[in-house]
Amino acid sequence: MLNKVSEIVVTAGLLIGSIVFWTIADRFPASTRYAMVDSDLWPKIIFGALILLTAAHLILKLVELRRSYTEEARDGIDPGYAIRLGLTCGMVLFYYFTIQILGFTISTMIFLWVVPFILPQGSIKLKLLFSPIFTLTVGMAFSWGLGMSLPRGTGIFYSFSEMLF
Amino acid sequence: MLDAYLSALGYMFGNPMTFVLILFSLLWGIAFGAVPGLTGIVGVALLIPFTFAFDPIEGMLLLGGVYVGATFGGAISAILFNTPGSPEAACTALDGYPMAQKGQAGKALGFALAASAIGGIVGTLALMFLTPPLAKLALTFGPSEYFALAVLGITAIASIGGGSVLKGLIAGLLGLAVATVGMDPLTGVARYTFGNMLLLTGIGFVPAIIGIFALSEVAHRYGQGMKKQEVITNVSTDLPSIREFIQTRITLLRSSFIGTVIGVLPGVGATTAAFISYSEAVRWSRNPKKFGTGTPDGIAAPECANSAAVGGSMIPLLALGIPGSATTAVMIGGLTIHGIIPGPMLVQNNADLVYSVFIGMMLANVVMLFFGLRAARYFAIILRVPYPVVGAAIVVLCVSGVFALNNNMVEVAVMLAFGAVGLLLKRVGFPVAAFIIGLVLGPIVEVSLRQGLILTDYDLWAFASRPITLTLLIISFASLLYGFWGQFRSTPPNDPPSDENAEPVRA
Repeated sequence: MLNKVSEIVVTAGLLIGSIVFWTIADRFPASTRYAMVDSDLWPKIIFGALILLTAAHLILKLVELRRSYTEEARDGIDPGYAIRLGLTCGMVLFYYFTIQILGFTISTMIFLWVVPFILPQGSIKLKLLFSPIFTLTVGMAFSWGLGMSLPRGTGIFYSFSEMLF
Repeated sequence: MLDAYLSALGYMFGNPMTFVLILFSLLWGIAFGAVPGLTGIVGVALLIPFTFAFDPIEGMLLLGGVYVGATFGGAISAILFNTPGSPEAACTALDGYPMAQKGQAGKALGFALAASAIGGIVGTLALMFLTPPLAKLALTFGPSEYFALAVLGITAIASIGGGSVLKGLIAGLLGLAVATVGMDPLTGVARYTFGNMLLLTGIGFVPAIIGIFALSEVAHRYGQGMKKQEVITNVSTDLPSIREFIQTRITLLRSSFIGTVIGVLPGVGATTAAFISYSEAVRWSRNPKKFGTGTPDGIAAPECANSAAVGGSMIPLLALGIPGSATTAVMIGGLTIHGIIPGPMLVQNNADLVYSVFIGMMLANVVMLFFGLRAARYFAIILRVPYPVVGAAIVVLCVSGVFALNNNMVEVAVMLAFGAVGLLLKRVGFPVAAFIIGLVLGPIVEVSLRQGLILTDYDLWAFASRPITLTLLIISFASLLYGFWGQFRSTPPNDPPSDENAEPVRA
């Protein structure tokens, strides 16, 4: 049931978004030279088709939802899924922000120490050892092997990163 | 043509690094194919930023080797784990796991490996012989033919790959919609940039594919948690005998053909080839009841077809610039970061690259066969690596790889945004492969349509009625009808996406 509802919400969002983007395309500056194949032609075709298809999909899903409402037992989202997903996404965002301040080495080590513990599998020893080994291997591979740079952070962390790679 | 082959051979043998790269990419591909949830597409996507450090030929050999290795790698977990590492190995589990349960895991792996190598070699031979003439023919193509080819790519992946056709079409159109962001290629007007200068060049393709395939997959897998499953790690070295293997020759021949042909179709790849090949093997078998109990034909058919589809799907990529599968759509990212545009001019202007890819893929299949036969029993070790560690490492590679492309954190933010989009699409059962095909084909299909209309003086009928264009458009329409017909004939009206496998089986 919840899957169907979430699909309906997403499809409705796509339908509304398609209408909005179609109207935005309608206001693109016009070109006299390419009047018949102007900038708005292709976006209008795409968003027009999306409006039709998402509307059709929405109607089908609403009919299915109405039919299944009486037939199926109510289900809910697995709280474990939501918690683990939330934690993972939160940690990825944390990594994105800290890597700009602390640089690659420190932020990656922290990230690799924390994230594997979201799931219980694997030995603790492996999870603790993996972080510094993998971080240093990737750092060396990028800097010395491939000649590509990694985020160095700011201030004192920049100097630290520069010292390492 | 012979000169081009000799020149490519000279390059490869004069540069031993290419062999190291092929071996590394095979191992990388097998690992990504074997670990459920990683898949070959993620393996290819993650390596794209690293190809920047190599020359274009080495970069393409790296990506081609991963594609070859990953297609076989999926069979390892399908046979030992009863969980296909990648979608194209789903059918392999049907007979591979029962054979492994009988204590013949080594034999099952041997069948899968040899069938993969034979399929791969046939597919690569087709690639070698069909690409140059097709590229020559494509030089006569105008914008209307390219438009029709791109339309075929999108409708084919939406309708043939399985799952809801409507969802496939919506996902493909979403990809096309995202591709409209940026400066209009004809008029220079900024579209959907909302005043942001960084969006003028459009959405970065590499960050988008890495986000949508790799990052979203890791987040989804972490969300799901891990389920304890029985893994057969005690793999015997009892490989199939030559006589046993020869008994599957008819299946191998048929599956090689099916795989190559399906692979050539724009947008449809290894997964579809494996499913069709398996069902054909059952249909033509004298004893169809054996399928599902651990018969060698049940392993050889899907493995041979999905590997043949690898070579097949490279044909439209190299000759026409149209991806033959989701993985080749991702490989376009590897070419574009080197400033190379795939298509008929690539064969003309970059013969060294194209012919080196031919030789490299052939070598990859041969190396995989000999190396794999010796290492078959050790493949089981891959499955012991805990996902919590692997998943976190993938996120690090995603972030550092995308950053290293242009030393730009904005591209990392784009990757994160597309990771969220991928997660949402997976959650509600929209196929991400169709989305990526749409994103890749977006600029081609738009420019072709508008240029074609200008050339035909805005006469839509003159644009669509050119023989090849009309044929391709009719095939596109027919594939859609076939998809809708198949869907309404076989599926019940209620098909809620499940958490386990929300995305339908795709190329």
